[in-house]
Amino acid sequence: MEYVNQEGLRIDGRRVNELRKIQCKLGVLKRADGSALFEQGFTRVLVAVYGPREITQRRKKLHDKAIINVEYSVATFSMTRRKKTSKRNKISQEIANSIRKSFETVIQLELFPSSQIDIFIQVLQADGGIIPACINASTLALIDAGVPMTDYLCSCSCSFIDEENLLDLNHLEEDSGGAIVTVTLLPEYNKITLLRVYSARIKMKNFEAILKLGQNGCQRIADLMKSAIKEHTINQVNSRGIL
Amino acid sequence: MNVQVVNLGEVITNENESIRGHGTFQKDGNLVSSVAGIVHRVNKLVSVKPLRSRYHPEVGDVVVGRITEVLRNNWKVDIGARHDAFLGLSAIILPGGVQRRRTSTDEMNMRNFYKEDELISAEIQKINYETFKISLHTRSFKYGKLSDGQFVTVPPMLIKRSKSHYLVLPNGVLLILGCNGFIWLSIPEESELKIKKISNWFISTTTELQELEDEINENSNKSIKDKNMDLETNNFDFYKKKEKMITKEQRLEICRVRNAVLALSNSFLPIYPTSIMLVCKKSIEENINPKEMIKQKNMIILTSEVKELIK
Repeated sequence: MEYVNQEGLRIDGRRVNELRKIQCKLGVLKRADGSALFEQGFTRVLVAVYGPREITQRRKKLHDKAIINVEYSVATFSMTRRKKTSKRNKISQEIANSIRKSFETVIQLELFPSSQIDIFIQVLQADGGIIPACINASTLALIDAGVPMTDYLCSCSCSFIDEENLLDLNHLEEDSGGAIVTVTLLPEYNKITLLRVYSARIKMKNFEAILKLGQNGCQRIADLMKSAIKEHTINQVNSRGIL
Repeated sequence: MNVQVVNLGEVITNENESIRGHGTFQKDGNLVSSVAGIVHRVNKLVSVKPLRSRYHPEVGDVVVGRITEVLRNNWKVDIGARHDAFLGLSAIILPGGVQRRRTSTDEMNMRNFYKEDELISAEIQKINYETFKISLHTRSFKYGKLSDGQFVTVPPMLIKRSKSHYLVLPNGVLLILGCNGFIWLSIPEESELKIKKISNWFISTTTELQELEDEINENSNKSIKDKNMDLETNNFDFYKKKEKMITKEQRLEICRVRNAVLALSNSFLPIYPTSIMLVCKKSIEENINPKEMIKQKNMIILTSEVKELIK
């Protein structure tokens, strides 16, 4: 199968370094402290954030900072075939753990001792780049909840297929058998907090170029997220009767 | 409106000139915002307030809470803040109104006072900022167990701290406005209170506004006195769930007030007796029954007068 044709177009008509269309909606869930619906192409993720609030898992209580509890679940209707995945299986737990560790670097946990911040991630449509979409959606939901962070956390996937470095893969490109690199970046500091390489191995000579492409993609996603947040904040200020 | 809206990571100012408050941190000699919100400046103190946040408790606040746990000599109460609050056994009124030392018998009888999942109204006694322990007390007749009524939640910023949070509205609804955004609606104990039909009532002058507030205060004080009578008996009647006879009209009024509160919360307008009564009055004028008050277009109609009053 040809992933990049002779004109340089991919399966969905994008260029090699183009991101998919991103749409962010904030405050979608009324009862949650913060919530976000994030769409990257056809990938859709809904995240609800609760907290900081009273800790429910006593064993994990820390006296000097808050703990983050991430729950990652994939809807049965999200993939091409109906598939029930449990929240407790090893893969879900590993993903949840890596997301938790990334957020531990940005959220100012020392401000909330003996508390817990819950991040509930629900994947509604899975069309490639699921984990980056989860991280981006979680960042938006945390900002909506008013949880203080030192920076945004932006994430993006990239790969090396058909002799080209591709940015922002959809699920057909992910299933192609090439190595998938997921980069999670702090845009202000330009530092990587999470880097995953899976599905296949990658050659050292290609790695640096792919990484740069991924970081570039993350910076562009950061700009999009920042403008979405700014717009949402200004709308809220204008629509309120009082400040 | 002249407000400075900042994004997360946006530089607010040079750090040398200002003291950093909540929602800010230092980075490369600059003061950077850690939340997306509005900048508040008090002299040199710069802080950023996010648009949505949990309830921030302060001593003296009247709150409505739900009992989550019964511990050895206190109860744990969920008040929608960053931590659960504690209501100590020594901070409640004992039946008979006597002041005595709490014994181990009292500790055994704790579930006769408050059980899990019951609603109470209380006042914040003290906050220990080192351990983040919030202590409540119900040492007045207006606080205590809440039953036979309706519970509503709104964002806490909409409820301003005022002189009285235990109010009886002119249409006969008892309203407890918790500072944490938890609101309780019910029917007060006695019916000696001056209950006016809303249709007879207008606020067109400031004297009428004052009259209305006086009437609300008078009714509220009467209601508190009636609660006091129950305390004279030396058994647990004060803590038992009372089955009040609430008529259909009273239930309708409670629904009307509840939907008025939701309409105000939807438009993010402050919630206090005058604004609630304005919305209720408008709903009667426009012949909107309580069931239809929560429709989006009706909410806009209902809150239009309040928006003008605020401006």
